[in-house]
Amino acid sequence: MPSLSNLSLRTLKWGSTALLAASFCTSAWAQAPREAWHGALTEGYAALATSTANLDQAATTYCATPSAEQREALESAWFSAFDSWQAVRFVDFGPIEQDNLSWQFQFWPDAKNTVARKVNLWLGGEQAIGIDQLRADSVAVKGFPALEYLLFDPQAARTQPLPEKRACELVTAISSLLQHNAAHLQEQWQAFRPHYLGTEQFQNTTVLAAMHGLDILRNKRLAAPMGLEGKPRRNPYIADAWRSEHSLAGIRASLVGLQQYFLPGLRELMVDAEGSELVERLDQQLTATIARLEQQPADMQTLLANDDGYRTLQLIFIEIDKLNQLLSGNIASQLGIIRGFNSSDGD
Amino acid sequence: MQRRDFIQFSLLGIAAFCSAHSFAASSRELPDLRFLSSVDTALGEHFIVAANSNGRELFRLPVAERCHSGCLHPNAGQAVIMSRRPGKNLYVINILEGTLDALVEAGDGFHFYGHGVFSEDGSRFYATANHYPSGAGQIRVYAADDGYRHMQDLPVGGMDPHELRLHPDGQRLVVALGGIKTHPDYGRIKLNLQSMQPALIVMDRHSGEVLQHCEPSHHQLSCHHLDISRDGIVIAGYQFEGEKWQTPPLIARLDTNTGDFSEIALAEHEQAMLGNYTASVAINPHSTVAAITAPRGNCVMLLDYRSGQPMGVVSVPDPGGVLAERDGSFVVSSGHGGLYRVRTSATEPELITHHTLRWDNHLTRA
Repeated sequence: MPSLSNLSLRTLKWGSTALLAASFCTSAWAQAPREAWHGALTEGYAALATSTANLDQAATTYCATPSAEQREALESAWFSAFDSWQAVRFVDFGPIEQDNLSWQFQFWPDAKNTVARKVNLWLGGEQAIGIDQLRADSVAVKGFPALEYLLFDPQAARTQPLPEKRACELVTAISSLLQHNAAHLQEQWQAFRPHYLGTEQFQNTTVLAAMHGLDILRNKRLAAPMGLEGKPRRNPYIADAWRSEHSLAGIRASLVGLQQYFLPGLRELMVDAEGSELVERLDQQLTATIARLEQQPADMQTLLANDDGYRTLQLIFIEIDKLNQLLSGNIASQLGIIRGFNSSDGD
Repeated sequence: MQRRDFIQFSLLGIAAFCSAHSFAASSRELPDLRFLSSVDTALGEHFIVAANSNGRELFRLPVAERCHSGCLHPNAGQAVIMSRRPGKNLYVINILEGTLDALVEAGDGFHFYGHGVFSEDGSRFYATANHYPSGAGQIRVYAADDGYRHMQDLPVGGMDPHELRLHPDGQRLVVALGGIKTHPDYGRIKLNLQSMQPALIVMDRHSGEVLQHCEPSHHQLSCHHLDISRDGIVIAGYQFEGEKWQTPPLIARLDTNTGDFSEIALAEHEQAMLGNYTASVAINPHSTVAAITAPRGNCVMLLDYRSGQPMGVVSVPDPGGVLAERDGSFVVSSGHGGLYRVRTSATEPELITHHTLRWDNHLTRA
């Protein structure tokens, strides 16, 4: 990429044949990381498609034959589908960029409680509820947070508790839309393959996506509710998945996703001694952080409520900060990747 | 160091006995070009910085939000810098003193898009805005000669008016319409990517009549930025919101003398270098060259605006703002902190200086 962009168009016109020939010679090794990433994310998107299909099925079953057991199965299917989304959430390029798909899966942050407001409008209204009607409405009502509100928030239950008709219609329509979107994403990811493999820029794009995902995880999903970023006040409600008390579990799922779907390509990319040592350290740090998250006795809200709990969160924060330093510091600098300011969030 | 001290310190380095007229008084010693830019520091603090094309910082004003672009008042020693979408503030800056003269709010139900322009006599200020309850794009008109009193709104006939420029005839406005629906409740999420209707329009600034409405060749080519030459030729830059693997044209050309609208298509690999995204456009009044920054492609595209012929691509990391210099070159700012000089005669940019800050999207001539 740099060698190409250093050239003027005049040079390019004269030299394009030679460049093309050169790119054929180098394509095999240059594509290896992207092949690994594409393959790994194929699994990640397939897991998302499967888990949202299970969620859709669980919603239909529960609403057809409501019981405590089916309700538990539905909630468990939500957790599992939400986690499979967290695992691929760092991917901010490719088909996920189309039609606000990422926002459709998870509208967050939600400072104005738009999710609850929108869901309540549907619950209290009289309009027909179906996947097409939902498609025409706001992103806030299309994804995991809207379902979470219906399943776990007492406020929604006060408006209309499950399995009452409209609540059930909404739960099944949202689940169905999630399943459609996940299947579409899985299909489009395959269509994207030639372009992804053939475009060298995506190498840095993929690393930057993981860096960005970890930044959001540390700063917005953890530091902000701890009062370490933004307002110096503990606030569990600005974490994601607070209603289902799944904030830390969701963070864990995102780290597992990085380990499963991001590390394989990185390993192909950093093959020299120093590079593979850094990848190894990142892998170990991911394992350690995931293990620490698994030891937590409670979710964010409970831990924020007292100083012992807060200390636990501080220890998690330290581990996640180490991950950031490794990826955005050592690894990015080894790869010569500098995050763009205008390129990543322009206007 | 206090801001005032800093300003004096900076200016003392340029000319002794700084007065309120130091900018004007020291013009012989200074390079021609001075500019304002919104910047972020590594810690995420926001400022408006004034600097010159030697890279010397002249002053910085702390602001509460990320700002975008603005316009120099033609004669009042003021410039206006606007907050970034969906921001609601218009900062009136005294560029002689390096102070904030006034802060004007967008008004109920409105936010700005970050660009504005003065009339030739400086009495009116035109700002692109979103009336977000309806999503209708408006040009908000302010009496700059009467404390920036809001006077009227001119509907643009579409959504998301972004950058606008005053036509050299002083009577018309040329406005880039991104076509993207947003609402402050949803932050910066784009709400209508499937049905967006971007355009490049020419408007009578008095009556608000839309005199010409040009549509890009694809409905997801969001028309965002533009510049206009002294002879009335507009070069506009698009941002493509469609599928990544497509590489549609990103640069449009409108001859306002004849009404001819066209797009400048490049060879596929050249087109791909721009990364489907352009940031700023500058036409050099001292040559026939226009520069378009492409931060996602880490390059600046140069073209002959009269013929529409591409002239070359210069590699600059994360370029945002661009302004023309009198010698025919361009000053380009980078999100990584560098200020570069780009010449049509060279394939490599010259690094003028490097600051430990992030230059935001645009440079505003001061």
